Amino acid sequence: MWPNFSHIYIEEGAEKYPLTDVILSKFSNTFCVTVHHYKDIFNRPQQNFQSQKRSMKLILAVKKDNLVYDGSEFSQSMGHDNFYYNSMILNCVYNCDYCYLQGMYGSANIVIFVNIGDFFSAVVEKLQKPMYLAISYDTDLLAFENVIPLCAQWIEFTRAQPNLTIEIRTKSANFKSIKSLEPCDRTILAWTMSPDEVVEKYEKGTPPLRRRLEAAKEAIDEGWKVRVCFDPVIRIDHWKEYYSQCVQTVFEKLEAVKLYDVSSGVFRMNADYLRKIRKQRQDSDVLYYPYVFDKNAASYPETIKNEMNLFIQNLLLQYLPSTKVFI
Amino acid sequence: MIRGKEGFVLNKKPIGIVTALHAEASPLIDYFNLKKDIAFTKFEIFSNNRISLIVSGIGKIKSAVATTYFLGQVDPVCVINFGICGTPKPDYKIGDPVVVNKITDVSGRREFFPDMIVKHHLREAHVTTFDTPVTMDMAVELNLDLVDMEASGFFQSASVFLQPDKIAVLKIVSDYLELERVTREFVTELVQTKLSEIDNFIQRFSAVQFENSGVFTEEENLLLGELSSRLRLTTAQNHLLREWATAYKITSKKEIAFLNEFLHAKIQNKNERLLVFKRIRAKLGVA
Ligand code: SF4
Repeated sequence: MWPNFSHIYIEEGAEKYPLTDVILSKFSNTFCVTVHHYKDIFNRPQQNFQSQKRSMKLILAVKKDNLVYDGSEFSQSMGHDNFYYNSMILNCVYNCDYCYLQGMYGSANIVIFVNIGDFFSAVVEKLQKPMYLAISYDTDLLAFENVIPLCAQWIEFTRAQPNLTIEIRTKSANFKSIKSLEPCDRTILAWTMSPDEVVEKYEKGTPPLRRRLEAAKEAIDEGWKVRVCFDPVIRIDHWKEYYSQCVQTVFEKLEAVKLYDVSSGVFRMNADYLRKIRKQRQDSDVLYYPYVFDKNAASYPETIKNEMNLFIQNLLLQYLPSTKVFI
Repeated sequence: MIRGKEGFVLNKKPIGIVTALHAEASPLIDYFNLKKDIAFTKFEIFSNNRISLIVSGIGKIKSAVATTYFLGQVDPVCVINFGICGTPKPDYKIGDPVVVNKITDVSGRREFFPDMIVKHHLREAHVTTFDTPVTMDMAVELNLDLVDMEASGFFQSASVFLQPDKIAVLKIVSDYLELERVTREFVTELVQTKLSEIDNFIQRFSAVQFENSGVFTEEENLLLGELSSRLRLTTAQNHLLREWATAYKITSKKEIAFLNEFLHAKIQNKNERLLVFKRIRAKLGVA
């Protein structure tokens, strides 16, 4: 499912990169507009995120600094000390109600940084020690793969870097776009699984659980390392029933012993982002649960959080040893 | 109901149009059956219950001033700069309506981008706004698309009031930079021949407007305001009250009329006020 972008904004200088040609070749009926700097359009004041979501534009740009970031406190490091992430794409083709990107960026338009070689160089500089790099961070990279084959290029790059492990997190069902590649044992394909009640209500535009599971199963069968993430767990009505059913469905489809690991986490978000999102939209109850705003993060009150974590943990421990469960 | 500072009353927010010349405006005034609003004295404003139009005068400063005045007074839901433009490019035909996707202010060297959220069948182009008329040689040398004298001033002012998805610029190609040909009658005739395309664009643009009208009804807004003033809530408490009420309404999908009972709460001191505030909080389901 890809929007037919009506406009592609091209930062001066970005037109020289081969990835720009690859992207432009996919969209023929599109207005191309040059911009001095991508922030001239991406960072305009007072943009309406949800209005832009209904008619997303592409912005092609060259990222000059911060090509790799230290791991964020809002993300699980999965036991990896050297946890990093990068953002070759800002924003996402999906539109989850609970997505923090709505609070992080003023714009819903999608920025693709086309200077992938510079991103590779920035990683190589840090590879004296083993590095764990999440490359699908402020986006869903695999969902873009048909338009721009970034996952494939990162996988091939990783294969040649013995100290590098990458994680590609996705809600897409788009494994077929990288299926032709040899599996790489330092690439973890991480699928976020949610009950269909959550998918339908809050994860707009994403494939249903069944299709994500089919994609994950195919990846496992092809020999890839697959992580399953129940994250964020949302306290909807009858959440226990829905998540029990979801976990059961997942393990009926995927053999537990073949999973690399499983992670879970309840909804949490940078507190300022949630405040900002609440100012912009009053149409989704997931944004208006009486969360506790604690230091910088907003999440469920401690007792509720513990109850939810424990419940999911117990579900998962029926299928997996504790060493493979990260809560 | 929206009431302008000079007494202009609208039942619903209109669509705003800013034109530089009366010659550009008059076909629209006739077509939409707009009436001059005599409540406004500083600029000519013409309205019906759906559209409001202001004539700014020529140049980006006048356009900026008129747009500021217009948006402050009339408060339209969205605004369109409509007017003629020149081009050095022969592949544009005289009379082509063009939707602008980028505006460059030539003196400030700044670029502005409306959100292009309207699906339409017109051409799109980049307009460069000059302070004085442009010669063909200069326009060719700079490889310009369209040139005008208002768009950048209009856009900068409109951006102060409105989100970029509520601002549009629609131009009609009037000349290949031979200004002597552009008479008042010529401009009016040119606009007249394109009225259905202009109307079509305006309709599409207004149809996609998504106003975040807020979660409360007018009565509920009044109730919250009344509660805040009767209970003499501080700014922070007022903010909390609205936040709790919003969360309550969205998560429970119920009305908040039950808060009426607190309008008559007896409060004689600060502690009593705090107590009532806590009762409201509990009623709104906040632990
Ligand atoms: S898939 Fe992830 S990045 Fe994309 S909208 Fe949903 S939460 Fe945001």
